[in-house]
Amino acid sequence: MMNFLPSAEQLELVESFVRPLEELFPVARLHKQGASDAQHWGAAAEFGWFGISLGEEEGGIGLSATEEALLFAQFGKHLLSPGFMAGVLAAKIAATAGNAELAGKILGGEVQAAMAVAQESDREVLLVDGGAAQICVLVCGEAAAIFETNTLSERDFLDDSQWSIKLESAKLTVAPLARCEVPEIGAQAALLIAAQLTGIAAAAQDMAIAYAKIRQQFGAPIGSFQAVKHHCANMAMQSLAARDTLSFAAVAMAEGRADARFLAASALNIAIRAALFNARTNIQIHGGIGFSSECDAHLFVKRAHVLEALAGGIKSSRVLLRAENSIFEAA
Amino acid sequence: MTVETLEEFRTRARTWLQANVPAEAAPMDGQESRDYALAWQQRQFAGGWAGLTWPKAFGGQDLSVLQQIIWFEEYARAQAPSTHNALFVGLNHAGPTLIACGTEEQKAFHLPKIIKGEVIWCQGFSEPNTGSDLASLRCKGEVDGDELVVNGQKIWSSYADIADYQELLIRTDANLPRHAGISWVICPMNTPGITVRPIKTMAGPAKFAEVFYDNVRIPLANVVGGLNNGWKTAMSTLTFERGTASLALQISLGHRVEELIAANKEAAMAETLMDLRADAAALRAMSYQSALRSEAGTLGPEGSLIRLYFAELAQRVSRASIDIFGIAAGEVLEPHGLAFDYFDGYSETIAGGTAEIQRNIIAERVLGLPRGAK
Repeated sequence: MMNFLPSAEQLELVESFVRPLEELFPVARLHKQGASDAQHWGAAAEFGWFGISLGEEEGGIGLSATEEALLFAQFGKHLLSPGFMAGVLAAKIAATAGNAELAGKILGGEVQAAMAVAQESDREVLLVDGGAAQICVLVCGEAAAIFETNTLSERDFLDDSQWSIKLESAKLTVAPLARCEVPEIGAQAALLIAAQLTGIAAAAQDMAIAYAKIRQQFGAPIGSFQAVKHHCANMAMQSLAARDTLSFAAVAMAEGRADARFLAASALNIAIRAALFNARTNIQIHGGIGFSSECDAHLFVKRAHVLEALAGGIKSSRVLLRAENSIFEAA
Repeated sequence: MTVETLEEFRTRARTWLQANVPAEAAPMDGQESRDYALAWQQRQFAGGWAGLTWPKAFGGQDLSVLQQIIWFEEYARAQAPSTHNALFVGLNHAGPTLIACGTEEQKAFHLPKIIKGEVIWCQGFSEPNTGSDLASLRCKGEVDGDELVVNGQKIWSSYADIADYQELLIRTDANLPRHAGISWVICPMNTPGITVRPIKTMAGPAKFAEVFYDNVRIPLANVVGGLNNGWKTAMSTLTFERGTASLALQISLGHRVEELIAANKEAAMAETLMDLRADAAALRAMSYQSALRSEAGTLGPEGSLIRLYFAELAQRVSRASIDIFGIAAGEVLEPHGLAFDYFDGYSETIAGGTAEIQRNIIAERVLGLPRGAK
């Protein structure tokens, strides 16, 4: 029987992480200068987050892309560091490359990972939240590699005062510690990013609607005004499109269907647009407080941009879409 | 006996459609459009492809939602006649409303006629002073013995000039609160006292009409869902309209995007087209999953969001087609060309509740925002 929906069990499993995420990763933690999620790396390893979709024979939990995507959407709501996504990809790369020892260390939380993304000039990368990471992950199409962060040169601190996450430029100098080339790795990375962006779209929507219900102007909640209602309805459409495209793509990936890569590219494109639209609209609905750094609203906009950058930007999603055959045909 | 797999079902659908989809384009209005729509429905019924998810007792096939989706995918792929035709109200509003709210007699009489392609239905909801504010309707029905006597006017009633029956909303008690005094009535269009004046749409065809009622006598037995309970009955119809009824149209939209991508030579349009390609995939993901959740009984309120997403995406696709070809191109100006789709598409964000009203409904009923001045 063909499957197109996450199952009740899959949804329940992800639901069981909602409370731990709220306790360990309140969004407000990101207002503290130099905040990092590195302290919770061990807890993440204990939860098994780095090996959700990795086979049991490779030391993983042996679940599927579906559970992984749904869980990372929850991560997105709490703006977890993209380092956790790097951990998942690093374990996959190490296991695929036959480096069981490294895979074991990543799965066990002994080695921390960060995401990197290639920049325009030669061998230059953007490193995200790499402060405590021993390794970083670079995905480029169907190729993916792990580099040791202590081999990076010209590490230049870009900013973390505005972005609430450490951004560095650096240069690759030596060959990777492990590398692999498999068609599904690019789609997995795209889905992980799409999932976190989908979470951002949902969280920004929730925040805007909660505020529209309590903020009073002209003697009424601003959510009773049509102009605000229509913003909220637009956010709801964006969130639903992102959520359903993500779960549809994840199930296709889990089932090994031929359209999985096209759907992953679609999910990425839709999620980038949804996250940015909702995060921006959330600021608009909050008004003056939304523009202040004390409010959480700007954190969602900025993290959406960081995740988008890790995917190579919206333009990369369009390149991916052009490269795949659509599920529809021209007559 | 072996059970047919979904892939076998798909192959059977594809084969049948290849052999049976009419070669000639559908006429846009008038008696010809009636004859064409009924003949096409009769052919589908004879082939066993009518009312796929309707109960067997009324001539349906009682198949799964997934089979219905596959049918619509193949239907769109085969470029079969648009489902947004004279049959739409019968198959997607009136029929489902009767299934949900009708008496056994009403269902047994009307549903087989709809499925077999014997009758055309139209809608009689809007009035000259009743658009988005549907509950303000004034077309009046007075009980006289075992009949209702109807006086008033309806407007924007699609295919009223060629319809056999109308789903008619009338005010049957002016003393009750405005939502409480409305009734949903089956109105036979050949009843004495009915005058229909077709109106041309901005896209050209005379597809909709004004309907005038002058002492029109309708049996009380034609009331669906109970006298003065028509608002609830009507809301069940609108839920269908905003929910899964447009599945075939949604899937066709994906094919239209691919046609534009294949035809496009403008580098400046490439980004727009890739975003539209993703949007069509998103719409399909939403439709598939909402249809399956509906069958599993776990459907949330997403139907109203998907309907609006589709409406606005359809308009963006049409606008992109004009941008790509330009208004002087043959593809745009020819009969049934892109200009027709483009102009016709303006109705998407008006018919069945304007996009603005739909956003209010989403905000209030789905997101729980407080009601306020409209």
